[in-house]
Amino acid sequence: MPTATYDLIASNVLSTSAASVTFSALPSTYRDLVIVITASLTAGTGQNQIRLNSDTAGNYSSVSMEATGTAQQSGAGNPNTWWYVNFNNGDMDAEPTTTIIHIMDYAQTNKHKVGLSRGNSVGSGTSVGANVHRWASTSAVDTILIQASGTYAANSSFYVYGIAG
Amino acid sequence: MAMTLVETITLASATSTITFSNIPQTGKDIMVLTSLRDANTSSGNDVLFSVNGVTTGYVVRTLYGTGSGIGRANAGSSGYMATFSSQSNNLTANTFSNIQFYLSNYAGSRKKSVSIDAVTENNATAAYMTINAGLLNATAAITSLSISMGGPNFLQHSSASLYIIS
Repeated sequence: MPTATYDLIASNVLSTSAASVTFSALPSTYRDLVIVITASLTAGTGQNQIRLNSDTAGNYSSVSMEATGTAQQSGAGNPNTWWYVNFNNGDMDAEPTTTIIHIMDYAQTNKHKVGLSRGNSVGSGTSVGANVHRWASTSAVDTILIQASGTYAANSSFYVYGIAG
Repeated sequence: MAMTLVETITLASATSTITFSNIPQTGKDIMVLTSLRDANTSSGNDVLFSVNGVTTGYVVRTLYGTGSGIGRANAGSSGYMATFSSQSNNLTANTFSNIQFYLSNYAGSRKKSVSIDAVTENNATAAYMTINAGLLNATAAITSLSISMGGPNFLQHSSASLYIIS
């Protein structure tokens, strides 16, 4: 009997706008996590910000590449207090966006955690990008805080999938 | 609750369009993985995705690398979601491109946001990697999905698999 994989282990579809979404008490029984966000902001533009286990220290680093409507660019951030994933739009009806974040070996306690992410938005805040992240902690990930440099609009959806390994 | 293979289409002969019809509405997300080679004799052409037979209202933003440079592309209100990643028939024999097409909330009633990653293979400097953000300015649930080159055929042994994730 194959092990079930790509299971939806947590979700939140916003009925009203919200500043952040938190998933806690995540099971440690999978190998990897995939977070899929389809969202927009109530106004303005911004980025998804990911925090693990409520760690507010500068343990987060990233390398990114991105194309906006007018340029391509790359950069690195270290140390940060969040993982940043490009995302820019302000209208859930007109311009929803998709962000996909993979966190490998999230429950392992003998390694720092690596994330791969893709951000996609078109329209007023065009941005397509890819990022690699590190969280300098050997703790198993059991809590994920997702917020933006703005407020998520109603109907934004947040899914967390577990991949068996 | 899982990732479920709905269908794999493997071409027994050259074909211009690969279509998944009657996509079950029981999932949250859909993912399509392809292995494609086409009859073009020059590289750098687009692979075109469309849904529900809709032929207008797609917007795509692309970041790409060519093996010797990088660039970006903007396509607004076009007839397809195009990714700059054809595996043309002048590239190394027996090599195929790979594309991942991911669409969340496909059965919902809002506009559809898409993430597409694609790579080609070639034993030479020129090969392509693209990441693409797509938007379909239509709200209907996705019940069919087509992949084409806008004319040239996909070659024998090309394949595409559609999964639903629930």
